[in-house]
Amino acid sequence: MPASSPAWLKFEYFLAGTVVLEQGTRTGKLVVLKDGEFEVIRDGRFISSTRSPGAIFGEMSLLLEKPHTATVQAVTDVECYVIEDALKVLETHPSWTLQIARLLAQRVNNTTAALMEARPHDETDHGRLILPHYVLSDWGDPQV
Amino acid sequence: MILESVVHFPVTVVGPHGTLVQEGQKTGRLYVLKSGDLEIVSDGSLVATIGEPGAIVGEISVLIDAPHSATVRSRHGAEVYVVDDPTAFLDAHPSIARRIAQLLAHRLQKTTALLVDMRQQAKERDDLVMFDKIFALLK
Repeated sequence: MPASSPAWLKFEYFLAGTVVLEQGTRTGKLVVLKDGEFEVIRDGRFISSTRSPGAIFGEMSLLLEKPHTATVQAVTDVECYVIEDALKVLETHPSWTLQIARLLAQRVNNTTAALMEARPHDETDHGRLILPHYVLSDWGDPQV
Repeated sequence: MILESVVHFPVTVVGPHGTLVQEGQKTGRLYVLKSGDLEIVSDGSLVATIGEPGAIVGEISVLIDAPHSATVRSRHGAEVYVVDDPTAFLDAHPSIARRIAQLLAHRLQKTTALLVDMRQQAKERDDLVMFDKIFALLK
């Protein structure tokens, strides 16, 4: 670990095949990839893999205060940073929270754009799927 | 919680049928509803109505540094707190930054689930169309 790293940022090394976050468990951890490859598996099915340094895992479970919805496993040997009790760390490090909020905002923007594309633009559009109004209003906070 | 933090910020008044933010416009500002109602209109259709004081508007645009993806207008009129420097504001209010991150996580979960549903339905529809075509060939 570089000397400049704060105490809450723990450097860890995982061997290929190690399960880092397990679906259905609540760890309160955030994992940030430094080097190597992680894959995401849900219900035994491969979802995605990444080698991008800086990729964050565990943020949804953390923010929603729910168990992990997928398993994160090391494909190669992996170097990463682990933040234990991450909610507490976020509370005292708003810039980290903002960084995560930015990533989430980008993802919400992408998924909403994809949903909007699939939305009908006029009443004659029978082939399209129409989201019930209550679904959209149920989102409560506005998509702007 | 949010309302307490913005109580000293300037308030803008949106008249009945007035517009706060235009789709495609980049304001760089965060808005917090003080009173009244706001309507979110995307691509000509109403996607949400907000009437809860303390509701935050514009956070995605601010966070991803992009133009607003929807128009925000008011039907009956509204008072809205305007946060000119959202980054400084959120830095100074970690709990609000966390609240926004949580709201975004919730929304991401919902939009992702809907998208998965829609793709599944689209696939089933395509399968049906394919079946019809094959069936027509067999007739």
